[in-house]
Amino acid sequence: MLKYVIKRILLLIPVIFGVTALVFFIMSLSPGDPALAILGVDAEPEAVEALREKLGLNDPVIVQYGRWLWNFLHGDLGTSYASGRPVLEEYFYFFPGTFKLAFWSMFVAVIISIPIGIISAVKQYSLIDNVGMVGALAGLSIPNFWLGLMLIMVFALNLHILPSGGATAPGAVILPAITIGTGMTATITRMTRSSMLETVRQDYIRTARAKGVNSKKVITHHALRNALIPVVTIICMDFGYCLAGASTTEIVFAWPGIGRLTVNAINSQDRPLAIGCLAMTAIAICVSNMVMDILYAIIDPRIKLTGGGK
Amino acid sequence: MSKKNKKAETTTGRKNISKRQDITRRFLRNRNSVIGLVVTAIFVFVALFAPILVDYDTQVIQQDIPNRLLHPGEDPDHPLGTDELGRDVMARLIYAAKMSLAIGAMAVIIAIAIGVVIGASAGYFGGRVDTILMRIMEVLDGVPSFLMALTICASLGASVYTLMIAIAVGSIAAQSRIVRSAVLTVKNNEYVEAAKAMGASDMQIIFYHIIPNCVGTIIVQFSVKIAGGILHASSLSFLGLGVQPPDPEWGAMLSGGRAYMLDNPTLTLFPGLCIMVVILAFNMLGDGLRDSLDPRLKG
Repeated sequence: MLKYVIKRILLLIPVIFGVTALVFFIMSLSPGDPALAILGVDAEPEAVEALREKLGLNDPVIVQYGRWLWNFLHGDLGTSYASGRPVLEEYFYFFPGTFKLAFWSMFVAVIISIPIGIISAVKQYSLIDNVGMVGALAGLSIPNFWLGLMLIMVFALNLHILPSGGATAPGAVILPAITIGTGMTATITRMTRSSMLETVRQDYIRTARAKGVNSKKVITHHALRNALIPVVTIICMDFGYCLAGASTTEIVFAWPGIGRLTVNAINSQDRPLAIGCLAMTAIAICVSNMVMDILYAIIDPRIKLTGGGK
Repeated sequence: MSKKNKKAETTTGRKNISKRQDITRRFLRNRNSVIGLVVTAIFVFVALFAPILVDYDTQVIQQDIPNRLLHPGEDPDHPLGTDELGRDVMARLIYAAKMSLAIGAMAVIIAIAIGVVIGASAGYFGGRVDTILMRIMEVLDGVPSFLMALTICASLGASVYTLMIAIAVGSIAAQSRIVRSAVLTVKNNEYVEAAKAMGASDMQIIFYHIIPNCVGTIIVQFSVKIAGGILHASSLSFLGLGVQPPDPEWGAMLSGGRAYMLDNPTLTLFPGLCIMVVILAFNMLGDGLRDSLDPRLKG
């Protein structure tokens, strides 16, 4: 197990290098001048030039990247141009918000999709199955920013029962969690359904039925436990992607989270913050994928952890 | 070959039908996929004929401030009302279909073209080529595709072309991985060995023997990924980084209507409905195509 974890962490290193180099290069193509953006358009040309020199913007991109990488390896991701605070501090200031939202979104997704997935599988090709599957697909097809706005329109502006944004008011997490959660139901529902369908065809289910176990108990005790193993994987993977922050949802609900932080940083060409956020996101996704693989091996002892990659 | 096939089918007691007929029959039997096909066809039709259906200069971008924020049905000239600058919502929705579908389709064509080359090379050559290409794809995958597209759009400046490239780059990794696994299943078939024995070059084998046999997978991907492309394009336009004013785009229209949500909710309702319906239709079509072209993948 330890060997496996070390191997995965070593594999993470080239990915982080690649991601940051790529983002660094793309952002350096931007015609905007960060120094001018910080000082404002009315700034003296000398002051702008001095700041460019101070920020190291006059060096070639490769030198800038080298310097960034060196600092990164020393745990320093630089300082945000906009707020003047260290990037890591900014990131971890917003991280709890995104984590909380990710947790509740997963909660919504799971309580909707697992029951629908089970019912669809048990009553395959029935009306419920068809409606459930199309409904799950519809959940995937609704743009998050639109669903968010519609929920605000109904529950905040017209019914006045839930706050329209922010994170401080009680119940503020409900609407954004529903928005993100419904988008994730499609994959989880389908996975639950196909996994259940596969499991109920297994020999031990037939044995249980033959023994005279009632069909409800067969489903809940025998089939469900085994069928949920691949579903747990999908859930963990979705959770990893949630940690990147749901940008449009966070913006619609003015939710203080990583997604909004990243989008604002990219939009305002706040390079240290943008690159720092994207690097941290890549790490978060890789780590959650690794945790998922390990969890998978714990839940299902038939799986052996070998090799690296995906 | 057809003779042999017929014989095989008659011995198994099946009707004499070609593979194509079989696929068509399977596709038409699924109600959802037919609905998906019809709705998609309507949107494609509207998109193709948008310049004929509405006049860009006088209807789509012509401002008419005295008639701004008309509700649907208030004025027979504007069946779906007007937006904050007095432009006809219906005309803009129709023209936006052209923008969204063109962006989605182009982005996916670029992504598939690159994905097929990378995936096919990785799958066919295997070994070191495979390792290196897949490591590069892992890097592209390290950042969620939406954030990658956002970075590209923000850095290169927002325009329709940047949007296409940005969305394409975001989905190359997934695309090549799917093509790679399709190639791996085809690669060891006898006909590939036969082609090799006859002295065909690697390129000939990849382009004449392997890729045509992965076409089913690629068509399914095309339909599903267009849905994703349209969603990304509208999200980026919603954030102000996609299609630029005065050109209409569903995400951008939605963003413009946000300020009037209380009094003119239809300004945000209609563009969102369009996005949802078109994406749902492409997804349903993609599911149907997958079930009929490649029943093994049925979920």
